[in-house]
Amino acid sequence: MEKVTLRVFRGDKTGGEMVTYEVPKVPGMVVLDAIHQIQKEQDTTLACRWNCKAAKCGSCSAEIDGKPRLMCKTSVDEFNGQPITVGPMRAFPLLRDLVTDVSWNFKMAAKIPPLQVLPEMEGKPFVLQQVDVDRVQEYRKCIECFLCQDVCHVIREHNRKDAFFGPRQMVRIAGLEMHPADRINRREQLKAEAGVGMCNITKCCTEVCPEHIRITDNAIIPLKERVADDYYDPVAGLLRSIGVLPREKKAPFNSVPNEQTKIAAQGTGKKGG
Amino acid sequence: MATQQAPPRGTVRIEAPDNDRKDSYWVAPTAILATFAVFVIYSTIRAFMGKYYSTYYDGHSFAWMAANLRGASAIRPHYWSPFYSPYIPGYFPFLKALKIGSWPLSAALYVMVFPLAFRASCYFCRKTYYRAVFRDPEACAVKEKFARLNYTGETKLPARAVNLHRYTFYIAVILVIFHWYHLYNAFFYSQYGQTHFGVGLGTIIFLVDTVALTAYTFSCHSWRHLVGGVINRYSRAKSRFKVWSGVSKLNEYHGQFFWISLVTVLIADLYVFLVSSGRITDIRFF
Repeated sequence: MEKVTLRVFRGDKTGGEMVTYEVPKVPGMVVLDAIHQIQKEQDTTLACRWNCKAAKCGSCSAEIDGKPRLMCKTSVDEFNGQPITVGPMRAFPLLRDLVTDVSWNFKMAAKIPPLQVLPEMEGKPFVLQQVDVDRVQEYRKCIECFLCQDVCHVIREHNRKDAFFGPRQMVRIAGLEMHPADRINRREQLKAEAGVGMCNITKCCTEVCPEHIRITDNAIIPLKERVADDYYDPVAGLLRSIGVLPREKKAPFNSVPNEQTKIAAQGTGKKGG
Repeated sequence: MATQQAPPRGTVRIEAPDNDRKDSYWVAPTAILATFAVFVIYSTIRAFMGKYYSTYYDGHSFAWMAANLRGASAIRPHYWSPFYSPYIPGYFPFLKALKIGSWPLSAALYVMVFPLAFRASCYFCRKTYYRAVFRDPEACAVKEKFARLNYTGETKLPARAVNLHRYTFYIAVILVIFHWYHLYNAFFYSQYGQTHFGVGLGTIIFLVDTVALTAYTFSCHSWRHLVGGVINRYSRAKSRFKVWSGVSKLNEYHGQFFWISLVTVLIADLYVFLVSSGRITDIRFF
């Protein structure tokens, strides 16, 4: 029977090494199947996070031959019989083997206030036309696999977790900032703690997104343009100040009740370790 | 249970051993770097050359033109190099007298800064030069040689200036209008002092270049934002939604338009240079 050779990272935060395994190849096999085969037949202590095996839960993120990918969506046939290297996401603290602590992402998400409904819509059923929510729906395809966060060089290479929320949170903020029923000016947060200016548009987040969300073109760049409207466009600023352009209609960001973001201190999340 | 804290500043990424990319990720940034180098060297030479940018008189008489365009029987196609368009000294004649030492200031130098600014602040172009030139990053998930904790992205000058991309777009629109004007002229030629309608190889090159540059300009992310990206409720702005949807479709190909227009503008200038300097004769179809 044809075999698949895998080199899998084994170790924890104190160190580790690549261990070679061979598993029998079966038709339609994906890398996650091979990892499960190792767990079942060869080494039950191999740690990996997974849930749906259908590219919808976003749990089995890893780096396969150096590229951030979902293990359940990566066919072993792609590698033409060559050994497949599987390691953990490198942007997050390692727990064990292929499992990393991604709780930082949930803490950043918790700093983003949820939808703050317009006063005229409060307490009533949402009546929105499809054309109003089409754009926002793209952002809601996100499965929170955090591959975009892992590949983002601001987080991964420069370790500026203190200055940038990352592409996933940009998508989340875009979904709220562009929501027709939201009343908060989120550009204040974008320019300040969320750090949209840290992104230099190299589009790696878009390249790795398993949901094919055009993160850079449809979320980050439109947000950068909105921030430019408010903070960098001198003519727009002048026209706003003399009343030619309409002034900001949304409520200031600091009008959000503090308890909306207190979850940040709790550090909880579906995959938070 | 491991810590819930984000790693402190200064903590490097996990160095999982021996899991670097195995594909030829370096090919694309290297090819882009080579393309940029060719374009920069060529355009710098042409910008400072200060001649061979027109194949006909068009109201301006240049000394270099008389020497290389033959007598009245010769066909003179109406081509004008995009590197020298618009011809600023034509509108401000005092500029013709300006010199750097004994070197007359080239008319291209008044113009080329604008398309350069448009491209340098373009969202797609930023991706290409951050990857190919600054290696920040060279490719996705590749270790950077210059990873640093004082990385500031586009929050500090000079990188912060790219936030003014929309202003370079406005100027680019003016340049596109001049491109269409020169394309219109390219459908004519002079012979025996008479102007005739006709098409040469240069006309076709100008047509492709003008269409590519127009598509590149009007697929711009800033334009997409200005026409409708800023709106949150499209049901109340249906006409702007239609325009925004159209620009969004074009925007998907912004990168392709960037490369095509970069190459065609170089070819257009090169063709004008070759014809106006007498190195080749324009190929006429009719």
